[in-house]
Amino acid sequence: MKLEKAVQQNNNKNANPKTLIDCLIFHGETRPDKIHARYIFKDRENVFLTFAQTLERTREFAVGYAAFGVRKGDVVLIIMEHHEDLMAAFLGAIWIGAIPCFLPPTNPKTVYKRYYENLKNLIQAAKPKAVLSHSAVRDALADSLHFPDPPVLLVVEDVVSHGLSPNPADQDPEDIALIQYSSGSTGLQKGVCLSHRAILAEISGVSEFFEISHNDRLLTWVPLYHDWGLVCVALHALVEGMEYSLLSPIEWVQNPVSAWQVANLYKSTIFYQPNFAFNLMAKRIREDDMKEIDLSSIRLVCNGAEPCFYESHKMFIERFSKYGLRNDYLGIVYGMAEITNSVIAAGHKEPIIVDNVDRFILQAERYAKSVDESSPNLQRFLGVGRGLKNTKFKIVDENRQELPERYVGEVAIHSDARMHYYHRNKKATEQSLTPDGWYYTGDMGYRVGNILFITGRRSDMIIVGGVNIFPQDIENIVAEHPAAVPGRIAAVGVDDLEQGTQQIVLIVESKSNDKSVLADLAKFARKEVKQNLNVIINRVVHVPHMWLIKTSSGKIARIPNYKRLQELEVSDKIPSI
Amino acid sequence: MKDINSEIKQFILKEFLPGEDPNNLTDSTPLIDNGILDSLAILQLVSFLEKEYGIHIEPHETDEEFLGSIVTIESLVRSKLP
Repeated sequence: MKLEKAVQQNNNKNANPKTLIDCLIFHGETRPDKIHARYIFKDRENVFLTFAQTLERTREFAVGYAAFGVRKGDVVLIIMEHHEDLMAAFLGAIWIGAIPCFLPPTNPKTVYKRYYENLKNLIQAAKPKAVLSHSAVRDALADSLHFPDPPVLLVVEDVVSHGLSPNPADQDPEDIALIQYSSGSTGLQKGVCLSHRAILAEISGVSEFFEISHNDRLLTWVPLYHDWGLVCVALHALVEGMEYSLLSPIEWVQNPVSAWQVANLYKSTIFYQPNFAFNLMAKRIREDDMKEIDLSSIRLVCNGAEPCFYESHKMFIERFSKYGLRNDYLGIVYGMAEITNSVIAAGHKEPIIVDNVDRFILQAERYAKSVDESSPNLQRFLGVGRGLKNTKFKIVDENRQELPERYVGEVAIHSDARMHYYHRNKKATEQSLTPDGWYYTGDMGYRVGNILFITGRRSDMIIVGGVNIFPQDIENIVAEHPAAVPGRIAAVGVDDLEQGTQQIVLIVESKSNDKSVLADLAKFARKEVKQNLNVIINRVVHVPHMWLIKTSSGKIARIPNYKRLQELEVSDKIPSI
Repeated sequence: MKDINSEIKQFILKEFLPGEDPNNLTDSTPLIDNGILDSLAILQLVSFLEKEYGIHIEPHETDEEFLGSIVTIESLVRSKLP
């Protein structure tokens, strides 16, 4: 079946696509046989899809969704494992004007009960029209959807058996194209609604900065339910007519050299991964593993999604420089789902700047005072870069007044790539997005000239391996143990330069001083947090009842409590029960 | 002969259970199920074992079956020693 009206329209406006579907049709028609996606599997043959195949499969999903009653403006949740149909399932929803949203699938370590409870709560809050998954999890999903007016439960096999959709829905660039849900439990999760215009603006800015063209080939193992995998790689490749290779994160973490094997095989030019992975690849990949690897195709390795450390970059380049990687091949992108993904960047032709500051003055005065390399108080920050096209940023104080250079405050961003709103959450939208378009990120940082440096978070969000973890989710789990004192638990993220990410320290009050009770509490905390949030607690510190400091508003002051703990440890006065 | 069991235990206590009473970590404590090791910690452990004992651990040997407790780790290491 030929695309009729849509193709004619798109052939006329190909130089200036207005929606993601314009891009898909344009590349599907103008470079139909070019490989667009390479899905890499461990236990079966890799699957490659051309642009024409992606277009055709998208149209199959589109007509299937419509057959099951999905209409323009409806939300479709997609819960699928690493699979070659991921993007067609996603774009098929957009094709009919529906709004897709990827959610993480269960993993082998997930405690199903908690996963489905959270999912049920999210579905009740998000009110999707349909949930798409594989047949293997259909029954478990069906069990969790027992509430009034549930969404339609679809499986891939049923959706793609209805033919091809002839034409996409009429769409405006301002229409919401997709939703990205943040991590966290009910009440903490927010669904970021992004328009076609915002997404195209972000991609255009990143392309311009890194001079990315259809000749580039992207690579990542970051999954599509993470905005990095989805926006930086899959959608960027779609918009620019590029090829991308996607590994499963499970496969990569078991065998990190697999990323280089794919780069070698398919001549990848740009590789995206979060900071911890720089450390992990540098330390974990053996010399033997690199025997057949040629990295000469790589021109950019891009870091982001969590704090970027100087030490991680150094370690990575020292390890792989003999394979041709150079310092100027490293890049950083900074952003978050609320501004599509990346609107500030460094690297390529604008080298990443390292700023040496005095760590004590930074803490005490919130001022990033320059020091030289030999200072005993040296702390290094990597500049995350300058605002890309149509993006500006400022640093503000508690009253949202702009601060001068080198003073630490909250980072606020004004960008064409900003979200429209949080899905069904007006209050949260109003708190972070002002009517004049400034988004208040919750990140703390300072500015030197037009370069942004990030020093931490205003909120106590923990970021482990590029995944955001709300400390209150950890604390709520630990509070379920009978020996813990609810409301008097602090989970704190602490930078770990060795691993290139954050470690989780849990400070927990207990009314008991029985060693076996405390041991049981620690065991419970580690086990439950791992099973429910899929992160480990690196250290459990028991403190006596009423030891933790609270803020004037009655909340646990996480970072001050951790600093107090550190000070006591230095003077060997660790609290004891 | 090296006391592999004790060396593994010391490494786990130092890296993943700082401050914990050593008596709470037994040979059969489930390391993955109990949230002591996650995928990144497993890679740290694997790097330690490979360096310390001069062995190679394959990607398929990084799951619970082989690294689930001190006993299974010790047995994996011993099976690879010359």
